[in-house]
Amino acid sequence: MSQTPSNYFLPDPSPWPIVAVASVFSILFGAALAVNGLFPGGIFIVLGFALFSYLLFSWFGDVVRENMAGLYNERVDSSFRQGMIWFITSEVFFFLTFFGALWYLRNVSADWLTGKGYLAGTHEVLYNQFFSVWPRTGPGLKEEFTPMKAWGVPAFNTIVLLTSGATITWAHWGLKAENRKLLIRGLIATIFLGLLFVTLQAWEYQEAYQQLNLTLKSGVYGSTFYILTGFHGMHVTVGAIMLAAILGRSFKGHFTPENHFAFEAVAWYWHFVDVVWLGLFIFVYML
Amino acid sequence: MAMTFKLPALILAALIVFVLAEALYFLSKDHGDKDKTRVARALSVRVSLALILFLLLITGAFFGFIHPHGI
Amino acid sequence: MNHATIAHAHEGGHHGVPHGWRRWLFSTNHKDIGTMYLVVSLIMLFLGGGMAMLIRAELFMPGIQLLQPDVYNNLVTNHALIMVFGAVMPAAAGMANWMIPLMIGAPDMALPRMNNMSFWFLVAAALMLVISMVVPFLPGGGTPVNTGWTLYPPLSVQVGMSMDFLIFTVHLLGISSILASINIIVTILNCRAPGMGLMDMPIFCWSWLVTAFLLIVILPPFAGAVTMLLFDRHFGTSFFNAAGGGDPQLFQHLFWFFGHPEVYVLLLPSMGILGHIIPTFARKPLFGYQSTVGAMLAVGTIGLAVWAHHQYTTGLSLAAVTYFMIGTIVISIPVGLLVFNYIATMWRGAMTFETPMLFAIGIILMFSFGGLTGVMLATIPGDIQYHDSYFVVAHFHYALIPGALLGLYAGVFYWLPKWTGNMYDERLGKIFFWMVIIGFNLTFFPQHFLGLAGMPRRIIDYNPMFTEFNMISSIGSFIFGAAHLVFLYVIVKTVRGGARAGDQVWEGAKGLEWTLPSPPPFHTFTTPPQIKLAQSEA
Repeated sequence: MSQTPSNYFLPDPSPWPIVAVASVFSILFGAALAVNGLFPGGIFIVLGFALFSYLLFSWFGDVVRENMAGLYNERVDSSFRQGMIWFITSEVFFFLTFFGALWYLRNVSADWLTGKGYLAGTHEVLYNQFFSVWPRTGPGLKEEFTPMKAWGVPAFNTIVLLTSGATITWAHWGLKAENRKLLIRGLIATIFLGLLFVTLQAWEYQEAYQQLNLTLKSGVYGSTFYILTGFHGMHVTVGAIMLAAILGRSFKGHFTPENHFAFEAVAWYWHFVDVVWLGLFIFVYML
Repeated sequence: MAMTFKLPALILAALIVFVLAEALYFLSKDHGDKDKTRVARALSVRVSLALILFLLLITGAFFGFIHPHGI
Repeated sequence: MNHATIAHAHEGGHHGVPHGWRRWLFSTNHKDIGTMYLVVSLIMLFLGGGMAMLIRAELFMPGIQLLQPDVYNNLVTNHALIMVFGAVMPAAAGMANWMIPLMIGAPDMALPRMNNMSFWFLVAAALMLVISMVVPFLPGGGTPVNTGWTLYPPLSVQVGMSMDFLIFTVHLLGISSILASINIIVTILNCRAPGMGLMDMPIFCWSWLVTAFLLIVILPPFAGAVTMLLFDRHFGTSFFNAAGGGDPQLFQHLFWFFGHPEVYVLLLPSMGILGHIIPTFARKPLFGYQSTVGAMLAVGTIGLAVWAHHQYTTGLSLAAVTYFMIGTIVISIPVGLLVFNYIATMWRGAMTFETPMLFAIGIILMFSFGGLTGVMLATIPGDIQYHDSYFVVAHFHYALIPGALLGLYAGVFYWLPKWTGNMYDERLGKIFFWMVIIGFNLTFFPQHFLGLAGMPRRIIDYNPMFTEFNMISSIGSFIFGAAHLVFLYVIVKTVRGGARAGDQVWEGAKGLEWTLPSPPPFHTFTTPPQIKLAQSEA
């Protein structure tokens, strides 16, 4: 950037926000129809996602162009960076909700169901055959399932994500050292490892459904297992897409050692997703 | 799970979260300035710590300090 | 690319004002977006208010007159959701959009395009909510949402497909509010004019800083909870199903972890508005700026940890309910601090009683009363008696109508001249005020007696012995409703014309926003103003 403007950048009216809303609305409206088995649901979802992808290209395209034109001063940059912090805060609380639910279901609701304290009488009458040993379903579900083993695909996936954390850091140092080759190689490796992770995860799900009889219907264990790993997998997928965008921009030579917020944000996000996985590995697979 | 094993694992996990948060803070403070590498450095520390934690978990399971469910 | 021009702070926009529908649909201007928020909130206020009128008409006499029980329960549910998410929060967000950049000398919100996206997500959510209300009337549409706004399972698992639309409404609202909150926090922390420290900031900005932080913390759990509800409904999971090892209580915890701080989300912006109105009309600086800020921070943080006082009668352990009781009562200390600060600001002030000030005084009296019944409800033995009775209905309407809604009305009268450039009709404003005060108290005061005598809430019919008080209450509510026609008339009249308002609309008002013309030009403070003296002293 040759010279930074002294005024805060104010964008002209833009169609993208309302397009974003329309696409998300279409996806959710379609989903509401689809979960009830109504016909046009799927179409709305597909249309919504198509519109959403188009929108991402257009909106981020605008932002990239403005940034490359040097319209953003230090303060605008700060706004993006601080916005990222608060967005991540909401993400943290989103994941904490599901970890919290897991904790609650394993401890508090176990106490209720096994008749701790003044509930002993209720337990005697309602569920006197029920004892709480994790992994478990509840007193009303008799179907057997095998829980997911920690040493197998999950442990290997941990190694995959850890390695991807290392490769993205490698790319980060490459960027800082103005070594574009290192940056691009690091990014490619990270994307590859991310996709490998998602593939293995999908394979693990298939295995769970077919071999272990571990499904969404397998009581609280199945519920928490799938919702936690599922939302995490979604985040990995989104992270990989963002990394791909960053890779494209790196090919174009957009990033300089002093102007690379997009890279830093995506890299940090990748580390965040990796740490969430560590939490999953410990609390879902091991304990 | 033995406390001698659990405690270092917990401390490591807490450190990982702390360093990650620190990196986010630096991300916002340093504006990606050329001479400032605090973000990259913090994230490198984060990866190393995570690796140590993972090795610790493997050793723990190998020597029988922890018993993952489903095995 | 037309960014590089340097504009004088008080000069009109160099962009030129965009014309036609694009100006509104594609807006990146905080004033236009603020106006849209306020208009939508007014529409939703009349929608939710209309529902309240139907509810009170039905309850005018015992027996079932106008509505089917399912429809009645649906109205109760949607009245709450529309008032909370459609009327109060957007109005507060609209005022934040309008006033925060003007108060801190920022050119706009920090992220103007995202600002527009927050607004349209709100509109999408409103649309989704309307769909959820209409669906049950279509063939095969299933039962309406009849759970009350708390959406407790197992009932909410059994409701027809309108529940799914409501779940996605919550997601849309969550996205909208989180994005708006991110924007507000970043604007406040990053875009203040040079020389304005955090402790020099106008109190309204502080109130929104705390509110926005609360929203970012509490909305993801709510979104997560309704997501689990969706999975329980359609994919056979057992989060809230005891047979599969789950627990309906889990939903209650997650809901109230959101729902209780939500009360402070509604309350704090209005308290912030009072922090401007009372010093203006008492012609004295705010008594104890630091303690007001501290009280707001304390309300926000303690408010995050007291949610289970909504669940006293669900069989929580004694240790848990005791903790939640103590925590809840502790909150009355910072809330009391706020109230005392405002009272002390009026002490020996040169007071005049324009409409905003009348509202401010009314709020302090009536909100304190709602706070007192709150302490009654916070005590466990008391609550076991009052739980799910009309006493609770009376309590939270006394807390939320003065605490949130009337504060926003006060804000409307206080800032309408700034927004439109025209003075409102003071006589009509006062008529509105007195109709609101009389109507509101007539509606909700008798409900305390009804609740203590044992009338349960959320039921279409009642024992004939409650008839008289219910009639009084319904008559009061019709006065309260009619008052809003006056409100609408005053607003329309002011927007269309009236006595011109100068820059300094109110003689005693302090702050950057009053240095601008009324109405302010399309772009303001494109060059940041220099703050010389600390605002807190002003």
